Parts: sequence; C-alpha cells; structure tokens
Amino acid sequence: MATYIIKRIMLMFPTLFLISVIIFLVLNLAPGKPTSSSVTAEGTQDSKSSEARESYRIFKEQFNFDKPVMFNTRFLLTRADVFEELRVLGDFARPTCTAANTPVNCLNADQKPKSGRVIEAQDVIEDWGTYVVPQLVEIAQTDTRVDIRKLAINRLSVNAKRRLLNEYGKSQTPEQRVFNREVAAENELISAWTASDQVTMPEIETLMAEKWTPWFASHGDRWNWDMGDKASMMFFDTRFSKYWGNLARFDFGVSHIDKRPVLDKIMERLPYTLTLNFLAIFFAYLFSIPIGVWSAYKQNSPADRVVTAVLLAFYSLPSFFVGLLLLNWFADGDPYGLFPTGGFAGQLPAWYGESPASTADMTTMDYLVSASYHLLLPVFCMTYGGIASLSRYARTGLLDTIRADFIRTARAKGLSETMVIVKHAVRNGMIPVLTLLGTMLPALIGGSVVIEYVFNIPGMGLFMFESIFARDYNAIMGVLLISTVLTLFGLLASDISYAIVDPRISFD
Amino acid sequence: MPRTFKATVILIVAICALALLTLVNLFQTNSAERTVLDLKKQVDLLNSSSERILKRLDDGVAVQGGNGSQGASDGNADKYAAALNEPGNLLKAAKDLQIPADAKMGGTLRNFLSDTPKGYNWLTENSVDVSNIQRMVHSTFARRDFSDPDTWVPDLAYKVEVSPDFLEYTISIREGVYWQTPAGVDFSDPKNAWLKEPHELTSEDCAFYYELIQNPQVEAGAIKNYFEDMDRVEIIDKYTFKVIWKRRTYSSLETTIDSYPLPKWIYSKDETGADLAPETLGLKFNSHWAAKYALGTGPYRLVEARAGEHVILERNPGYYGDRYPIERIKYLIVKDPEAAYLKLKADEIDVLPGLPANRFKADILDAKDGEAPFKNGQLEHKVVDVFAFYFLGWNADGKFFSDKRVRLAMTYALNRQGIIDNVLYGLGSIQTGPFYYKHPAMDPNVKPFPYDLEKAKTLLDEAGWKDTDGDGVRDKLVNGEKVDFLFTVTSYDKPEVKSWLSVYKEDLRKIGIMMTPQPVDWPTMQKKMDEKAFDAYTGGWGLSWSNDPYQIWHSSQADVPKGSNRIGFRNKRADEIIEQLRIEFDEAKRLELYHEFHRLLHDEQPYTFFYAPQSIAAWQPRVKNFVINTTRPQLYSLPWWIDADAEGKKSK
Repeated sequence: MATYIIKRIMLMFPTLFLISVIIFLVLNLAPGKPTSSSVTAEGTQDSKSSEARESYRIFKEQFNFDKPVMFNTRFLLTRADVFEELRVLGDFARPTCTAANTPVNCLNADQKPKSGRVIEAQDVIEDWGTYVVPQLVEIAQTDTRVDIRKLAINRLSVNAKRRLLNEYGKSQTPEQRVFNREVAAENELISAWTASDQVTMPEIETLMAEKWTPWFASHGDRWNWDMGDKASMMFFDTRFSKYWGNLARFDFGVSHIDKRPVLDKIMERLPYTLTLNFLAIFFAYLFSIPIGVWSAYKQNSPADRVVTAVLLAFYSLPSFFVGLLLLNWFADGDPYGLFPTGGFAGQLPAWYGESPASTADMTTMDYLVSASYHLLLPVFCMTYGGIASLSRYARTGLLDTIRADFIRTARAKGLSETMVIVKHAVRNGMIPVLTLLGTMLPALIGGSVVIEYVFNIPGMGLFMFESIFARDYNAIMGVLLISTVLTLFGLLASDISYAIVDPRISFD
Repeated sequence: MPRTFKATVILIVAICALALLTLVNLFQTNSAERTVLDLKKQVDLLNSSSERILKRLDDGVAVQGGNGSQGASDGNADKYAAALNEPGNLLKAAKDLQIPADAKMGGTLRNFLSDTPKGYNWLTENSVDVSNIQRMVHSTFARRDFSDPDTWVPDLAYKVEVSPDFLEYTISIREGVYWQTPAGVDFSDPKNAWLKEPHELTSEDCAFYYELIQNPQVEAGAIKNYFEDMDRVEIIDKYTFKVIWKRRTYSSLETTIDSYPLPKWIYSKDETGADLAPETLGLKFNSHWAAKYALGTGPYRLVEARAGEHVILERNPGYYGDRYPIERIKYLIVKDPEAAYLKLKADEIDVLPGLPANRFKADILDAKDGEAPFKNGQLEHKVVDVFAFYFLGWNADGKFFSDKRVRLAMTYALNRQGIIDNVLYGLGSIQTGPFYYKHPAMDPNVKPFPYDLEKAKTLLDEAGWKDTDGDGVRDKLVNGEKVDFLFTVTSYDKPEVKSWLSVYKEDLRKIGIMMTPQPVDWPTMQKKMDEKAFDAYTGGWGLSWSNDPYQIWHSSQADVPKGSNRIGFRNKRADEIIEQLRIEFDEAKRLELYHEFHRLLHDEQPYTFFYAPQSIAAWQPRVKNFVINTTRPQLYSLPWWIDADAEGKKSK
C-alpha cells in the first residue's frame, strides 16, 4: 500500500507539470490580450480612456508579456527582420496618393500596410526590447530612408532602456540600489535622444554622431553573447520560465487587475466557497443515501416510481433558474420576504433581532445565524440536483448487494430486517457512493459561477469567471493549479478509500 | 482495518454530540461576546473624540461643543468668500448641492457598488466603483457647478488665476485641511503609529499629483494623455502652486483644476515609513501598499471595506465644507443589476441608478395601479439622461460607405423613433450629433433625418447602387468588379442591440441591402475596431460636459494605430474647426464653431447617430430631496437626506 501511495505521489509531479504546461500554453496562446481598456455596463467607451503606449509597455514589462511564451530566439534576429517591422511603421505614416494630388513620398492606398499589421509591428518591435539594439543602431546609422532612420532612433530611445533590478520587490539591497540608480540615470538620458517628426538627414547624422554612436561604442559589449548566454536566454528569458521561477517559491504572482497577490485574493474568497460547497455536499449525502436505500428496498413499488420521477424532475431543473424563482418568490417581499436577496452574511432574520451595520459588529452566534439565513436558498439550489444523482447511485449500489449471497445468509441467520439492510447491505452497497466523495474535493474550491452570481456570493467561481474575462492570467493559473493539485489528491484519496472500505481491492 | 458496526454508530453519535455542545457553548457565550463588542465600540468612539479634541487644541483653536463642522478653517472663511469676488479668480460661488432647510441630519443611505473597489490609488485606478467612492471621500481643486456646468466653483482651492496667455495657472488652496487617517489599521502596533499623525494638505501634495503624472514609470494611461502639453508644476508657498503649460490649449483649464492632490506623506514612503528610492518611485506607486486605504480630504471617510460584502463611509468630522445630512453610506456589493432590483424591492438598498429595462416595462409601464411597488408608493422613480450616445459607425475606408449619399441612405433606413419606442421602451432620445443632446454646443436648428425608405432608395440609386441582375440585392462596379451590397455590422453582444439590429436588417432588406449582424464579445470587438476590420459597427461614446472632438473626429487620428477615429473620417473643414476649438477661449466663438461642427457632421453622416440612452433611477421614499444632477455624477448623494419615519408601505 505504502509503495503504491508513494508511486502515485511521485507520478503526480510530472502530471501536474504537464497539466500546467497545457494550461499555460492555452492561456497564453488564446486570442485576446490583457489590457487596461474596458467597457462600461452600457457598452459605451470613454473617448478619454485611449491607450497610452508607455503605460502599456510598463504593464507588459511587469507581467513579462513582452517575453516569448516558451522559447526565446530573439538573439537570432537580423537587421532585415528589424527593418521589415520598421518599414511597416514607416509606410503607414507616409501620405496616401490620390488621383487629385500626389504629395511627396506618397504611397498608393493598396500598398499601405493594414492597421492590424501596424499594431502588430508596433507590439513586436516593442517586445523585442534590448535584444534588437545593435540592429537598430545599424539601421539608424546606415539606412537610406530618412523616415526609417528616424523611427529607428525613436525606437532606440525606448528599447535601449534597461530594466531595473528587483524593482517590484519590497526592498532592494545596497548593490541593487547602486545599479538601479545608474540604470535610471542612463535611461533618463537616452530617452531624450529622439528625433522630431520633421527631422532631416544631416540632423540625424549629427544626432547619431554625437549621441548614439559613441554610446553604442562604449556599451556595445552588452550584446556580445557567447553560446552559454544564448542558451540561457533561449530557455530562461521566457514567460514560462519566469512564471515557474516564481511558482517554485510558491509565488503565484500578482493579479493584473489590482496588482494584489493572487494568493491573497484566492484566500479572501475561499472561505465563502468552502462553506457553501461543504454544506451542499454534506446535505446532498445526508438526504440522498437514505432516499436511495429506501427506494432500493422498495424497488419498483409505486412509491419508488414516484420518488424516481420527482427526483428526475428536480435533476432536470437548472439551478440558476430555480435560484431566480426562489429569490423572486421568497426574497423580495413580493409576495414573500422570508429570506435575504443574496450575499453571504449581514442580515439577521426579523425574529432574531435587528441587523447591525456590519458583520464586524456581530457575535459568533449572530454571524452563524446570519450566514445560515443567507445560505439556505443557495445551498438548497446546489443540493437538490446532487440529491437526485447521488440517490440514484445509492439505489443502484444497494440493489447490487441486496441480492448477494451474504445478504441471504444474514437473513437466514435470523437477523432482523433492519440489521440486514443497514449493517450488511448498506455498508457494502455504499462503497461507490463514498468513493465519489474523493472526486468532489476539487469541486469544494471550484465554486459554482451561476449560483454565486445569482445569490451574490463573492466566491471562487465568480473570481475565476471575472479573471477569465479580464484575461488575468496569474489569477487563472493560480486557481487552476490549486484545483489541479486537489483533483490529483482527490483521485488518490478515492482510490485509497476503495482499498480501505473494500478488502477485496488491494494495490500490492 | 477494524470495521465493527458499533464503532461506526458510536463515532457518529459522538460527532453529533460534539456539534451540539459547540452550539450550546456559542449560545452561552453570546451575550458576553456582545458586551465585549459594545465596549470596544465605545472605547473606539471615546478615542476618536478625544483625539479630535487634542488635535483642535494643537491647532490652537478653542474647542466649541456641538457644531464642529467648520473646524480649524473658521478663521479663514471670510478670506475665501472675498476671494470669490476678486476679478482674476476663475471660480464663482457654488449654487448647487443646497441642503434644504427641513432636512433631517443623520441616517444611513444604503447604496450599492457593482464590485469591490480594486484599491484607492486615485491616479491609477479609474474604474467606476473607485471613482464613485473617490467623489465622496476626496475633493478636487475645483469642480463644475452641478446646476450650471459652465461655471467652476471652489472645492479645495479657493482661488484660481490664469495668466493672460492661458499658460500659467496659479492655484491657492485652503489652509488647515487635513488628510483622513487610514481606516482598518491596527494602531496598537507601534509600527503603524506614524500613519496616525495628522498631516495637513499642502501644495507639496498637490504638486505630487502632477509630478507623478509626468513620471514615465507611472501607469496612468488615460489621464496622461491630457497632460501631454503640461510643462511643469511649481510650488510657490505652503498653500499656493503654479501649473505651467507648454502651449495654449482650451482643455488645460479643466485638466489643471479638475484634479486632486495625492497624499505625498504616504505615497512617497514604504510600509515602514522610510522614503522610497526615487528611481523606482513610479513603479512602486503603480502597486503601492497604501492603495488599500482610501485617503482623501472629502465630506466622507471610508471606515470599513469588506471584499465582496460592503464598503461603509461615514461623515468626515474634519471636513472643511458644509455638513451634509447623511451620516453614513453603506454600499453593498451587488454584481447583478437584477439582484440589485430585488434588493431594492426587499428594502435592503435605497437607490438604484438604472432599473433593468424589462423590469421597467413590467413594473412601471405595464403595471396596474396599486399592484406594483412603483404604483403603490413603495418605490419612486424618475427618468435620468445617461451621459452617452450610441451610433452606427460606417467604415469610410471600405468599399460601401465612402460615399456620403450611401451613409445618408443608411440613416434614412433606420427607424430611430420606432426602435426607441418599441425596443427600448421609450428610454432614449434621437441623437443628431457628437455631443450631449441638451448641451448648448448642439445646434438647435439641426433636425434629425426622418425614417424614409423611399428617400433611401433614391439616394442609393444616385450613388450608383442598383440591382442590375434582378436578384433583389443592389450591386455596383467597384474597381471593375461587381460588388453586391452585402455587409456585416460588428456589434457588442447585448440583447437590445441584437433586437434593434434585426429590425434594421429587415428595413435594409426592403431597400435591397443585405446586412448581417455580427455580435461579438468586448475583446474581439476592440480588436476588430483597432484593426479596422469591419464594414460598420455599433458603438457608444460616454460624454462629459467639456467637448474636445479631436480624438474622435480629427483626420490625424484616423491614421494612428488604435486611434479613436476608427471609421476614417477625414474632412478639411472639420479639422480646422477642431484645431480652432483647441485654442479658442472665447465662449461665444466656441459655440459658433461647435454649431458649425455639428451641422457638418449631420451633413456628412460619418456615423448614423442613433440615440442618447436614458435610465430609470429608482429609490425608496425615505430618501428625500433626491436631486438628480445635469452632469455626471448625476446621482450624487450629498444633498439628499433620510427621513427615518417615512417607511415604505412594505409589509414584511
């Protein structure tokens, strides 16, 4: 047994790793990007909230979105690659030729790059960051087109900026401070070495000769990489390795949305979901096993058929629909106001006493009463479907055993009918139902999006849902990884419980 | 494993007994716990009042009992009032937010937010929920008068002067205004003691705001655009500072004075109170630890925020301005507007800014007298203009809509009034131009084009779109190639958009045009618009009282990747007007330019302007003096008051 468990746990690591790679790739390769731009509930936008390039760059840098997903081959980029992106940007800025008037340096409308391509070029060259500085310098020094050289210079003043060390960390070491101060000074210096829109070729030559060429001559060795450097860039300067580097330290990163640690946000929501789902599973088992046993015992009687039909009807009712109906009937005072309209706690039933302003002013007892008052409807909604399916499992399980030889033996022994059913049949018949419990472990923290939305409970389901819409990768990864681990352990637990409950099963 | 039946039964019984005992124990200790809570509350109250007294003593102002609203700034009140009459002062006395004489003080307003605020860094957070809280908790230097939006009235600043070239704004702020103390901090821990010290608002804090906007490391995309032309900020003395602009722009006035100070004393420090390194200050500011505290100088202060549950504000005892009637505001966090309506009906919240449209129909339009809550006096409601407009944008760079006659035909084919009346239940009014429909910038002589399919057909014929092959769809030779008039409308996936698009589709079919609606989610929509991969799209712009058409209508913005001029509107005269508007300060001339611009857009129809939406604000009758402002924020609860005696006719 112990060998088996150890083997299973050892196997979990590669499984977990593979799952996380898949999640990571799917997330990062899915269309859409995390951005700050948003839409209001009415579907209107403020014309003000247009994107500011520099802010977006900082955002990308903080969350490593400027890095390639899995492998980094940017050290292979050539001058031609960089030129191509600059050309797209340059051509887009050129005036369009029309039949009536052909401005200098114009381009036919069909030759102009499309907006989508321009946006891409802008992103691509920005993401390349410092990797393409030598190529940019070369283009800025030698290219024949003024507009391309101008673009290359303006790109340099952004791309040549180096990142600070440990800039988001809580505090920096004195060495890091020294380095950061030096880098910040250099960054500020080079960010001013730009060319204006109407720059001429001689002006560019002067700017290059005075600023960029000497700068590159003295700092050019930063770009002399040997094989080792390249290999480490290829595998370690990527989103994936940065993410895993943090994860190895149990750091799930910070959420893009509010820059708070993901783990904190999860921990804030977990209690709500845990309570809700624990209660739901508990009550589902509490009711379904007796019902299942009873209907197996009365198999094919009219009563069994009625119960089966009623449970089937329940099972078919979608819980969000029932939730809304319950709220409309029993919560808003029209016709009944028996329950609060949602939330986790806060109000107290009228017969108990007056609700305080905040849950912080409640005693433990008050809080317990308030939470049960609030949770009655949602737990009901989450339970009735489970009762239907679980009681069917219980019924089948019992039917399988009730005809077994040992039951006949027990009866023949002269045991009372209750004893036969409860002690001998039920214990053996419920094995499949109990082992189902293991697979429910991840559901405990997964949460139910629909119920949490309808009943306004700030749990994990809603958190996941919102994170997906906001493309909050760190949050999604965090929740999925935690529930992956729980699923793996749940499966293991369910396998082990088989062996414990049923001595015929052995893993040795 | 021993599996005796008795053992199992005993275990179950034991667990049940334990649970029961726990419950009994809870019940017994309940009253003791309540006493402890009450005592703690009293101690807190005592502490805060003794602190206030000590602070006043420190300030050297005699302690007056009772009416303490004016606080330390009393001595300067005359100076501030006199400043409003100085000729150079851009600020005028406020006429809005009047508190009625019969208003009762006190009471709790139960409001709601759709999400827990993500943090209170006023500069980097600009979601709706955060700015709702900001308006209550913080103050700007000056604000527009709600009853007369063209005048600026004092808030933190009592005097704003501008140099004749409109480049230098000199702002004088009130003295003796103190920052609120962070809520939810454990002050018994000596490490946090520095957070409790009183910090007066000075021009350092004001300048800090402008400096951070100019800091390249700070992520404040939307706001930074406005400050592109700002040069620098200078501190003159403790209460005066100067904002200097590089070039003359009309928007510089609003941008400069509709701003707010940031608490430098906390944002320039790390958690232990030590200074942050200047080279990483901006980056640290983006995710600053103090963003979890709502720090301001406004009429209310945040006392408690629980994620997913509620946010509670209380009247700020040290506020320099009027004492507003409502004592505390409790915002419940409710994500679903439908759920918020249930809460309103169940008497759990007091205000709902927008009733869901289907509820408006069922409970107001179709409800019989005496039945629905709005008919029996349980709830009240009123129509409120939403500061926005919706439109159909025609891609002028595409093959269909480069001709203005085609665009005009599309407008004639859209049954605007019919859709507003039948699909939107009348909650909207026809929009004819790019500004708020009641704003003086709209030319009153522009009348909307009527719904007229015959006229649309004629225009399409004129533009060369004719059905030459008799298949029921108009076609035309474009660059030597026969093109059928089949196009898609990319739209945000919302039920009412889908339903009015299907009405439109039917009308277009009647005039020989095949339109396919393409509802997509927001990120896809954004991408398609950025890449200009659309024939037409439905969109909406939020509006503000000040209008600068540059971003949406200037031709240069059509050639900026991800620019807001997505439809490719390029018009020489329009460009001239827009550029003129940016530097013109004379109000009469501005109005003329605005009117011309409106007429021009009406004539060109780059958009088919559709409607300005309206929503239904609903509230409990216990909220009195429910003033609705002309400009955003329309539901600003400052002058409201709570009548505790007036219960709804609810039988619960």
